Amino acid sequence: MATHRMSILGAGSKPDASGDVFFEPFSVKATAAVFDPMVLIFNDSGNEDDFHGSFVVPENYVGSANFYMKWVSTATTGEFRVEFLYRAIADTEDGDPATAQETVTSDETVDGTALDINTTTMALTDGNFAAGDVVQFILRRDGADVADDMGAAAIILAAMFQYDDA
Amino acid sequence: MAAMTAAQKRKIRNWMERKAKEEGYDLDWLKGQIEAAGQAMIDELNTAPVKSAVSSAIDTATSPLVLTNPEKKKLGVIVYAILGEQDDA
Repeated sequence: MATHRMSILGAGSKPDASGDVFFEPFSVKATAAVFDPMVLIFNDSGNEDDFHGSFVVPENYVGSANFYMKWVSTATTGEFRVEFLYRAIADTEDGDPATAQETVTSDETVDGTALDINTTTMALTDGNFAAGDVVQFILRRDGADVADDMGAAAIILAAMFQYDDA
Repeated sequence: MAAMTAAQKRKIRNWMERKAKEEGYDLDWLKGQIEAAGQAMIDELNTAPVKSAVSSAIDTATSPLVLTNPEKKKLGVIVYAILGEQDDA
């Protein structure tokens, strides 16, 4: 058995219409920025801000499903409230679902040094997924929640679906 | 004193975030702390003694001309920005 992680940021993903979720070069907020990839920004808006996407569950999926994310911030204190909402959809099921199957939430404390890497892992319900399912998801910063007290943007370097094979 | 709206609080937080990045110091405060600091300044500057003292100082400087209160308020906005640019501010 091995653990795998696959990126869930791709051509099919998009921000909501708030204007507070977007991709930008890392150099806009990074200091050295020798490496300057595009990163996903969740502004400190004080609102719920969403990023939408979808992916297909790999054929070697067995279980241990997790949402896995690497992120940084220019803030050195505070919490970033992350939510991951999704529905895994099998063949012949409704591809336009009206509700999420599961919502997982975590209040993530930012590292005490600006732009140091933070890792967020949130366990998902294994039985919700099957190989070949289409997963539609929303990655959310809930800036309206009192727990989200980090006074700066969350800068997402990677968002991934983590799972084990047989 | 008038409490800041959510949009005004956001304006303060985002401004301070941008300044921390631009000027290279740590953003080591929480949302609520920087909002409270902004509200405290608003409340303090809005007290009758402070407003009266500032108004009197303007009147003395412009005498015999007396600026209207809206004019004094507009003057205050730009003067406060300039104050922030001065090293001893």
